[in-house]
Amino acid sequence: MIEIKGVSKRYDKDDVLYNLNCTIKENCIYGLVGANGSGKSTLLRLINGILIPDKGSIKIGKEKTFDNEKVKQNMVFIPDDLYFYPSYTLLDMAKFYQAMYKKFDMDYLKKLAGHLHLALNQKLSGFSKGMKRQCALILALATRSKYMFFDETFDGIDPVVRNFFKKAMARQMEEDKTTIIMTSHNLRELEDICDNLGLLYDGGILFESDIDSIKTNMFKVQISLKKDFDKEDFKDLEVLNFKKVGSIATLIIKDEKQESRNILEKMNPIILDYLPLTLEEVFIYEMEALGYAFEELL
Amino acid sequence: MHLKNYFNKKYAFQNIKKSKGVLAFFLSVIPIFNTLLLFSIASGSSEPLDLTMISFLTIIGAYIIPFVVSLCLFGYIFKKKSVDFTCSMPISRKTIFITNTITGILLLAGMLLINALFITLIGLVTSSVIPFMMILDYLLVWIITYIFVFILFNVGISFVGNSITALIVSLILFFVAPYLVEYITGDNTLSPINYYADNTLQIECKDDACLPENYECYGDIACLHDVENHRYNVYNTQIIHPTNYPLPYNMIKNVITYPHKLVLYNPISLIKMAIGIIVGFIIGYILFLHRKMENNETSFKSEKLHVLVKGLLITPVLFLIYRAFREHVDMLAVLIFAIILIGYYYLYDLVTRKSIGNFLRTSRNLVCTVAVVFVIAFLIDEVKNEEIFLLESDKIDYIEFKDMDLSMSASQYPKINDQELINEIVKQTITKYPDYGSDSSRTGIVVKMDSGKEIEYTMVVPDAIYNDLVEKIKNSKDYDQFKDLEQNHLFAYRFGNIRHPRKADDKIKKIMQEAFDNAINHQLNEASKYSTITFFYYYDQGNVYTYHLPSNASPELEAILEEEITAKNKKMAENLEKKEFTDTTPYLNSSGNFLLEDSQYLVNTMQDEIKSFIRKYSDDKFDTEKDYIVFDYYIGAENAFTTNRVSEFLALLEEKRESLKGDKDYEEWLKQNQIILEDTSEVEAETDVVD
Repeated sequence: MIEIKGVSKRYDKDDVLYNLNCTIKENCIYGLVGANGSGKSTLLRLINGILIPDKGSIKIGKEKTFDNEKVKQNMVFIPDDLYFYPSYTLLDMAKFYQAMYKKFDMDYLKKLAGHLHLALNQKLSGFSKGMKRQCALILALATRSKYMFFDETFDGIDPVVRNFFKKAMARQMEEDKTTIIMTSHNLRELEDICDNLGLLYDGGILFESDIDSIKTNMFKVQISLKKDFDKEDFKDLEVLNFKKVGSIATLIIKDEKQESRNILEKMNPIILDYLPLTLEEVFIYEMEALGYAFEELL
Repeated sequence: MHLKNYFNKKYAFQNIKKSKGVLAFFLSVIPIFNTLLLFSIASGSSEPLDLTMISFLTIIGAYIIPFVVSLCLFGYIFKKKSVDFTCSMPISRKTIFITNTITGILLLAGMLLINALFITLIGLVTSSVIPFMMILDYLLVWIITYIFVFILFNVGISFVGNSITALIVSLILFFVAPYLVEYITGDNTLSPINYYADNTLQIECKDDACLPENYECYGDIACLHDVENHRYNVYNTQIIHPTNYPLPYNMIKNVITYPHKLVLYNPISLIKMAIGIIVGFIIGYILFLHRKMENNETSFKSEKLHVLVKGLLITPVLFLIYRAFREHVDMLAVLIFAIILIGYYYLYDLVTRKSIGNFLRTSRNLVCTVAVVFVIAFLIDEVKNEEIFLLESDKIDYIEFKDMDLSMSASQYPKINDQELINEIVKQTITKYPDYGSDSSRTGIVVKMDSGKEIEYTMVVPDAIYNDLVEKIKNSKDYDQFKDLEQNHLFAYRFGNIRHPRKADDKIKKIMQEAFDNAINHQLNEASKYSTITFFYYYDQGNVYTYHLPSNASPELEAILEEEITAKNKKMAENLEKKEFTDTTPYLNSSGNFLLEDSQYLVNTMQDEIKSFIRKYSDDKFDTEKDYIVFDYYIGAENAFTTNRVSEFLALLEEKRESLKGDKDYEEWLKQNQIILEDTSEVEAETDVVD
């Protein structure tokens, strides 16, 4: 378990993170979302011991991560701005990782590289942006680390390869009980892979939840009644959002007990449709419920 | 504790591998070019190489190579991307710092070891003799210096945000800090540039024995007051402040101030650097552990620190400008300095932060820096202006008496510690003799004070007093010590008419000591003046001292010389076919002059005659007591023919000259060289007498 307690970090005169608290459970994929400059990368750098927090502590298990070689043997970090040694090939980089990580799996790396058609002996400087990202990801996966941190994970990678990595990560989670923390400013990118999501805003985690419960507790309903109606007619439900166009209304309902359908059906609707919610919609309505305008957050 | 916690060899290897191109280039530059350079010098030099010569490129490299190594190993901390990459790896900051430091030290020491090996090989394959102790001193001096520079660069790198600022911080540590110490504690007359200025100093005699026999004040009240206090003026002295700073500063200072005194082996400087290495390592380590890794791609996050470093770098120039103003020296130079300084100050932000700072704020900071430095300089002046350099006779460590007959060396003189003799020399220094006339002797005196300062001046005294002083020195214990050459340090010898030095074995060392004793203990007879000179070379703490003796100062020495020359002559005769004696003038030893004014031309036209001459007399046994001539065509050690057949060769030249009379080329050559031939019969007659 990754435990972040009261972490603050200031650059010059700006508080990038302020008294941030967060707990990330084992063997899950945690998505960290936030606008540009919200502190996602800073948080990952702090967890990985690159930066020293001004206040607070970051622990994995019971051990602090900063400057802790033992803990960091189980951690790998791929930043948003990739770095490879000049004139190194993928194989050279793999040898470097092998020198650093005791559990580095060279065969696995070669296998992944083979699947992705990445030349092992070609200089990385000649690779495209997406190929470099693929190299960085397979290097990280081959470390077999228990904790993996990816900043802007799939930046520049096409959808096919993106799916390949999502599967590879899922497999790794299953085999090695890996915990993956990934950031993005694009919620759709994380939607189908993350178990948990945290929204970073104004130096802290504004909202945090697991995706399944968010999705199963919140519904988008289109309804039309024989009589004229307004939001008041639905006061028995927890309505997060109500919009009516003509005789059809669209409701966002929070329904943890799954009772809404019964209540609505008793109203003899002409139309009653339950539509799937995108993660982005879930976040929008949750944030609106908390009093934030979502457009300001992402 | 596991050793890997301190030194991670895999990381070290990878770190070297990633910069292998740059490292290979810079680490091979010195061994390759130094070897080539030394090879060419050593092959043609008639003197043994000294520590400065074998260190020529190493000196320049000391300012570049450690910085390059430091940047290759630690340079990742100046870029956000590489910081993220490296610092996310499972290796602690402690391990990174210690591993990189040890790696850098090993790389630098390895390079210097390889270079030392090449220097040793040069000593073996060329005719140059390089003492083993000098190689060891080379390693000691340069390994300490390179590590010192490397460690200080690391200190700079540990807390700044880009490589240029790291270089600037290192420059402050290397040069500004010792400069300021020297400015405050030393002679600040345009310090440290104006070292050639002659100074007047006062000698204070603490002992009646050093009081002058005669001293005139010509009614000067201040002078009379000084005399009451036993203080006497000495003029035209040169005060040399000790240069015991770390070598990077000493070297620059020596180049600017007195290039003839570049002392590389300075134990105090070495100890200071060794301490600097330990202190620098600890400071660098602490700074690195607590470094804010977000501080990169700019000079400093802190604006105050940025302004302080910018200001510190210009303080020496500001001190110089202040002194120049005060002493009304070349104002044009001051103006140029000031323009450069202002330009630097405004461009600094552009170079270190890639942005032009706020003009008004920069101007305010510049004015404040100038004001602070000028106030400090003014206060230092006010305190120091009261001081007159006082040489107290009881605080003299030793005096060097630069008399050639006493020393047989142009570079090593007896060091006089005996207080009675010191008092006597001081007394003669300040005594004013009414008439020196032509019967006076002068000699250089170096007074070394307990504080490390040196005072140089020339002492002029009547001959009788001078001779008396020399006699007293000859009978002193100090002189006995001087005469006792530590034979282990005697490493090479060279006969004056054999181009290249030879390595001195135990036998020759003993012979040299005997010859040295004979030469300095006895008046040598008149014939010694015309004897061949034997040089011997003595190595001690980075210095090669050269002594010269008449070769007949010892019968054994004379025998060896005769044997060597005889053997060499035979070898010369055997390998004569491909040799051409062009542009070579054989010379007559006793006069030290060329044989004849036109002998160069004559020799060039009589190759066959010379070869026949050499073959004819190559079996002669050479006699050092007799006059001789040498045919030397300046390539290689074995290419000289030395013979006592002076008159025979002169006759040969005369014969050639006669045959050339009326020759147009010959006449033209004489005209071009403005040679008017004299009657050579006198030269011939003179030579016959000696023969």
